[in-house]
Amino acid sequence: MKEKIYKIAVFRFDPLKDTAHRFDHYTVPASKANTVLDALIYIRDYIDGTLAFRASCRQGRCGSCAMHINGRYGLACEVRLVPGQNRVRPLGQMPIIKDLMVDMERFWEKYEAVKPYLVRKSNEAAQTYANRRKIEKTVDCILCGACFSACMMTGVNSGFHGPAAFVVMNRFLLDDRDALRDQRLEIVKGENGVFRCHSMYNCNEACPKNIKPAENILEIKKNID
Amino acid sequence: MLRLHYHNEKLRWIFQRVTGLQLLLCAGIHIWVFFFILERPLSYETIHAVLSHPVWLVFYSVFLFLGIYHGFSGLWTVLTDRNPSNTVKRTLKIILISLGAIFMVLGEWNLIMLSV
Ligand code: HEM
Ligand code: FES
Repeated sequence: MKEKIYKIAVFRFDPLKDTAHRFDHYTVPASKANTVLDALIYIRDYIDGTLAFRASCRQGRCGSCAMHINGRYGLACEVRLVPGQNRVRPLGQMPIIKDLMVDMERFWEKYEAVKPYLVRKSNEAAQTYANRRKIEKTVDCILCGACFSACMMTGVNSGFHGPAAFVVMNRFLLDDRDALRDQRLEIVKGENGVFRCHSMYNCNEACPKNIKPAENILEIKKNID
Repeated sequence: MLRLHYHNEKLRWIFQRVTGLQLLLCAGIHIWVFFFILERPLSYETIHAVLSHPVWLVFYSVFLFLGIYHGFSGLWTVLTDRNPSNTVKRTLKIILISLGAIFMVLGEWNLIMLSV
């Protein structure tokens, strides 16, 4: 494929050295099939080895490369470079470790809080095909943190679990085999739980897997008496 | 004593939506009556005639209550979004409930004054 020069502005910030962030501008040779992650890897390998970002699978499976690309959240390994100017920022609502890498501690804390595992009603509890189909979409979550970053509530309310944790919770609420239903609902029925969601739908917009966290939140709300 | 946490967040969530829809309905009726039924320009006599009818007095009292409940409950939601301390919440709750009560009394008093 024909190579062209693409322009990309990359958010740079090193909390140990810098007092403020900046955008560094790079030009990268690439074809229209190349992704933003390809450009970042090129920059790190050939222009500036100090650029920090996370990535692993390069195929939209691992969820490491989520960032803010050209105005919306997405996976850098899935979003292609656009002609003209490209612009990348790290995930929002979380402290920056360096450049495009953020500290996802709070995201994992909230994820753990909703008991993200199956507790079987009995050892024999089998799953029907129909029930597996029901949870299919929620299982797609790769925990990239895009929804958590896009949500206006996760940043301001430390008690709020955030869209990803609610998706995981709904995944187990929908599962016939799960024994923790009441305990799970107890965790999120309080004043900073699911009802704190303002239905802004930013999470639906951000999700690279099109899981629609807002709809999962609504389903949890319906389950609470 | 004043409870800090609502027993049932779901109920409050539903009330916010139900009162919102009722407000929409009330506002629709109000606009329809004032723009298409009543003789324009409006005068004190026209308003007095409307409110002296008990059905309309009750209608506007309910409208007033819905607006105040929905508005202040919504304000509570927005102002507690940042999960403030219990002291802030307690103060806030006293202020919002008092303001709501004052608005309700003032509004109802005005409605009654216009109806007699
Ligand atoms: C016209 C009919 C109305 C409808 C259908 C309506 C509907 C709603 C809904 C669905 C919410 C919940 C939003 C959320 O959870 O984020 C809400 C919140 C709110 N409403 Fe209304 N509303 C109406 C009129 C009013 C009026 C007249 C006021 C002012 C007195 C008002 C003040 C508020 C406030 C302060 C909130 C909280 C904002 C928030 O939760 O984000 N609303 N309304
Ligand atoms: S590198 Fe794994 S999702 Fe992008």
